[in-house]
Amino acid sequence: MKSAPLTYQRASALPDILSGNSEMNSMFIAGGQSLLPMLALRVARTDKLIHIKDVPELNVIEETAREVRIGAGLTHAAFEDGRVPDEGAGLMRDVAADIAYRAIRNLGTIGGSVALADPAADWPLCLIALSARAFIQGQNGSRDLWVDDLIKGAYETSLRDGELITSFMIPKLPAHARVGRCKLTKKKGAFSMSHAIAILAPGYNKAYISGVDTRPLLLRSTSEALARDGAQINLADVIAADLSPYLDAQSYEFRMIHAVASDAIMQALSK
Amino acid sequence: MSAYSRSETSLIGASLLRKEDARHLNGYAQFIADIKLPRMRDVAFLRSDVAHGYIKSIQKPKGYEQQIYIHGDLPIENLEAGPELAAFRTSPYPPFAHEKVRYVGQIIASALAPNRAQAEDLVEEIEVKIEELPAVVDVKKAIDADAPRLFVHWPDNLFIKARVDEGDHHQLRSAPIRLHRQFKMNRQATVSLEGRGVLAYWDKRADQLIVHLSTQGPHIMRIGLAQALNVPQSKIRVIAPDIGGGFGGKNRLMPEEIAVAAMALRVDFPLRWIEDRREHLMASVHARDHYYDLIVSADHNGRILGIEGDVFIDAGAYALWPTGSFMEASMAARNLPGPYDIKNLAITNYTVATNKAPMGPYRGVARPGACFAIERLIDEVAHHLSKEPIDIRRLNMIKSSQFPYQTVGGYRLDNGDYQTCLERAIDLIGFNTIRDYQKSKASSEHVRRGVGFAFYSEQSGHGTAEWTKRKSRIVPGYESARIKLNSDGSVIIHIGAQNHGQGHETTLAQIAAFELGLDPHAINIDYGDTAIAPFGFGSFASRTIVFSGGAVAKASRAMADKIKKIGAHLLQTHDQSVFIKNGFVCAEHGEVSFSEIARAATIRQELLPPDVNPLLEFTLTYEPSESSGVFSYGTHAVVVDADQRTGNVKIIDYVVVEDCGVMINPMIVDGQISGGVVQGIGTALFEEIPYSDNGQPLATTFADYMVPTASDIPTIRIYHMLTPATTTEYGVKGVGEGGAIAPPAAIANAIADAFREINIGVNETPLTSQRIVKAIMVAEASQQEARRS
Repeated sequence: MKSAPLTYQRASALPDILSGNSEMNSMFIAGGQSLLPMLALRVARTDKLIHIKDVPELNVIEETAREVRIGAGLTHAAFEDGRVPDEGAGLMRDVAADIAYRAIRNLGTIGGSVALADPAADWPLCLIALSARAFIQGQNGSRDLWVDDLIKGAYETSLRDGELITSFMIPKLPAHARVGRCKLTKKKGAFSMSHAIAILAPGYNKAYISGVDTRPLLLRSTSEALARDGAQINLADVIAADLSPYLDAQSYEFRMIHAVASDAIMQALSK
Repeated sequence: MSAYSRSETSLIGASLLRKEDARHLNGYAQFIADIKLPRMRDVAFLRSDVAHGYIKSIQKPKGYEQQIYIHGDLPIENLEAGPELAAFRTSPYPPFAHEKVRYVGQIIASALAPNRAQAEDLVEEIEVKIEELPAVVDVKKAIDADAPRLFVHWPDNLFIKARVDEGDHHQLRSAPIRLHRQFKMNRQATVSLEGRGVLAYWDKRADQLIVHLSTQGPHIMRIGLAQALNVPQSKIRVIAPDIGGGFGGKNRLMPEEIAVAAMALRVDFPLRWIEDRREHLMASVHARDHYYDLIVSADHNGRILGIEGDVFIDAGAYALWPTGSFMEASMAARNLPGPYDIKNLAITNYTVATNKAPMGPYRGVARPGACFAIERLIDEVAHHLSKEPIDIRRLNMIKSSQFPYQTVGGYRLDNGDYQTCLERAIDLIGFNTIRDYQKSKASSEHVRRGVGFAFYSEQSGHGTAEWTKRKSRIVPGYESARIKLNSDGSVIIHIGAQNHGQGHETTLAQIAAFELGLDPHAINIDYGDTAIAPFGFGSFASRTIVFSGGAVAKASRAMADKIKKIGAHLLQTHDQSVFIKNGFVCAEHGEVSFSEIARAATIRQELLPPDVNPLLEFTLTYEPSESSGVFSYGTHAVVVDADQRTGNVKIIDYVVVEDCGVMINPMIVDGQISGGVVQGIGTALFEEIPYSDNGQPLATTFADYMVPTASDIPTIRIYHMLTPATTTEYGVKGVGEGGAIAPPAAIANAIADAFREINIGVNETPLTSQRIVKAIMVAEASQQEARRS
C-alpha cells in the first residue's frame, strides 16, 4: 500500500495555493487522514499534493460576542483540547473528542472533514446543526454559504475545481441552550453507523442525524414537535415519522437509528 | 529497581520481569523490516482481484521483463500439504498461480524494484486477463453436486470428509430432550501486530541461501524451502529475527516466502517482502470459519446424553504446508464434549474447499468454535428446562475422581478440579448479586445485564502419540536444547523453539538458573538461527514450556552433573559430597567456581578427572512421559450490559479462573491469558471478513475489519488454581491458547442471559450489534406469534 509517484508542494500563503496548477492534476492536503490512505490504496490518484495546513487564513481563531470564526485547517485535537473558543454549549469540543482516535485527531482537520463529506463524518453533522457558514476561496474570488448548502450528498459538495474552504463561522448558541448527542459505532473510534445531535434553545430547536440519508438529515417533524411540546413530546412517534421515508420501520436499522435519535434528544431534554 | 517483582527464593514460580522487554521497550529489537542490507530490493505482488477464474494471459511491461516473475519463470517444486491420509485430497499450491486463480489475493506475479512504492508501480503495469468463473463461497453449497469445482480432478469441493463415532448414537433418538441448533463462527484474520516478512539473498562467502523469516518455526520452514527450491538443506540457512506475534499465522510456509526465496536464487541482490495490512487481511492465514449443525440429547434433568450432527470447515482454496487444514475439522469434532461427561458423539465433519484464502492455525485452533457450540448448547438445554445454566454445568461436569478421563473425542484429560474451578468463577463474578440486580430492573429498561459462563480445556505439550493420531506429516514429538558453559562460567542455551512474544528468554532462563544455581541474568536463551540452534519444531500448540522447558531442564541437569563431577575432582572429594550454589561447586572444606571448572574443561584439560571428556556442552532432546498432552483448563465468566434497541454490548466484568499446573512465571502466565482473552473478545464481538457472492473479501483494511482496542477491553480479573501435571517437568502445562478459546462462548451466553426472557438466538460470531438486534427482533416476533395463537 504505497501511493503512486507524485510531487509535493508545501504552501505557506493563500495565493500560492490559488495560483493554479493547471498543467498538473493536483489535490489539496491538510491532515491527510482520509486522503493518505486513499492514495496509499491507490483508490485516489494525483500528480501533485499541495500541503495547505500552514497557511495563516486556514488557521484563524476569532471570537466575538455573537460568533466564532475558525480556520478550516484547525485539527480535531485543537477543539478537543479546548484551544478553540466554544460555540456556547461545549458541543464542538465534545464532537471533536469523539472522532476516531487521538493519533488521527492530532492531524485531521475540520475543513478536510467537511470537504470530503463522508456520510458518516462528524463535522458536517455538527456544523449543519449549528447553522454554520463556510468561507470559500478560489481562483476567481471568494464566497460564503451555509454548510447545509455546501454538503450535497455522499462525498459531494458544491466546491468547484481549485476552490478550498478557508474558514467557518459558527453563530454562538443562546445562553442555556441544551445539547444532546448520541453516536453509534461498531466499536469506539470506528466510523459511525449513525450520529444524532439535538439542540434545544428558545427559538432554536433542531435535531439532525447522519447515517440515514447521504447527508445529515434534519428530523423535521421532531424538531417542530420539540419547539411546540418540549418535554411533553411524543418522541417515539415523531422520530418514526421522520425516519420512515428513509428506512423500513420493521428493519433493524430503523430500530437502532431510532434509538440514536431518541437518546440524543433525551439527553438534551434532561439538561 | 529489583529484577524481581516480589522477593522470591525459588525461581520456579517467580514473576521475574522479562529479559526481552529491555530491547522491546527501548527500540533495540530487530524485526524483519528493521534489517537493512546493501542493494536490497523490495518485492510487490500482483494479486488476483477475481476469486475464481482461468488465467488467459499475462503481459509483462516492456523493458521490465527481468523484474517480473510469473509461474514457470522459476523452478519451484510443489509441496504436498495435509495429513498423511489417503482420504485427504491434495492439490498443488504453486506460489505463482498456474492456470487458475482460486481466491482474491492469490499471487499471480511479482515485481522487484528499489523500493516498495516502485515495485507497486511496476505491478500496475502487468496486464492480466482472467476468464472469471462463478465463485464458491458458501461452505454448505460448496459440496453440492453441481457446485463449480475448484479442482476439476476432484469429484467435489471437499478436502476430506470424516466421521467421529463414539458410543451408541442410535439410543439418542429416544432421548427426552433433543434440541437442534446451528452455530457459526465467521472467518477472521490473525492480526499479529507485526505482519509477515521475508528477506533472502545468496551469500557468496557462505555459499548458502540466507533467509530472514518472520516465522514461528525456522527449522521446519527450512525443510519446506529446501524441498520447494530443490536445494540441499546445507545450502539454506533460515534466521528468525524478533517476531512481533504469530499466533499460528506464521507457522505455515506461505507462497510469498517461497517466491522470494526462489527469486533470491536467481538475482544478485537481497530481496525483501514486507507484508502490508491489506495483504494480511486478504491473503495471510485465515481462521475460525466454522459451521455447526448439531442435535444435543439430554434427559429431563439436563444430563447431556450425546451430541450428533455435522461440522463444516470453510478451509479456503489450498492446503497450507505442512499440515493442511484437516486439524480444524477433527479438533472441532473431538472437542465438542468439552469438560462434560458425555458418552455419545456422532459427528460428520467436512473440510471444504472454497474460493477464499487458505485457512491456517490461529490461537485456540478449532477449540473456540467447539467451545462456542458446546457451551451454547449447555445454556440452550438449561433454558429449555427452565434451569440455571450453571446447574446444568454442575450436573454434567467431569468430577475429579474421574481423572484421568478419556473423552469420547479421544482426549485423555489428565488431571484437575473442574468443578471447583467452575464454583470459584461463579463466586468471583458475583453470580447472586447479578441475579439480584437483574430482578431489580424494570423490563422497560433498554439496557439489560447478563452473565455468561464458558469452560475450556487446552491440550498442550502433546507429542508423538497425538500428532501421529492426527496423521501429521511432521511429528513435533520432542524439543531440543543445547547448553554451553563458557570458560568464564556464564551459560548460553540454544533451543529449537521460537519465542515470538511468550517470554521464553525469561522462563527458560528461570528453569536453567534453578537447575544450575545461577542468576537467570547469567543465562542467555538463544534461538531462531538454523545454523546455530539445535533442530526443533518451533513454538505453537502451547508446547514450549512443556517441551523446551523439559529440554532445558534435562540439559541443565546434565550440565550440573558434569560440573559437580569435575568440581568434586578439583576439590579432591566424592561426586556425592558436593552441591552447587551461586556459581560454585561446594564441599565441606572448600569450593571451586564454575569458571575454574570451565577453564579445566576447555583450556586446561589435564585438570579433569580421568574418565571425563573436555567441553561443557550438551545437546539433548526431551519428550514428556505422556505424549497425549496435558490439559490446562479454566472457566471464563462475563457480565455484559446489552442495549435491546441498538444491540450495543459493553463488557462490565470479566473473570478467568484457570489452572495451567505449575507456573514458571505467573506474570507471564497472566500476560498470556490477557492477550488470549483480548483476541477472544475480538472473535466474540468484532472481527470478521465477510465475502460477497462472487468471492470478494469485504474487510481488507482496518476501516472495515474491527480489531478491539484498549477502550473496548475491560479489566480482566485472573485467578489461578494449581494442579501440577504429573508427566512434565515441574508439573507445567501449556497456557498460550486457553485465553482465546472461551470468550466467544462466555460472552454469547452472557448476551443470551441478558435477553433470556425472550430467548434470543445467539449463535453467530462476531456478535455485532446488528446481529443482536436482528436476533431480538426475531425473538420478539415469535413471542408475539405465540401470544396470538
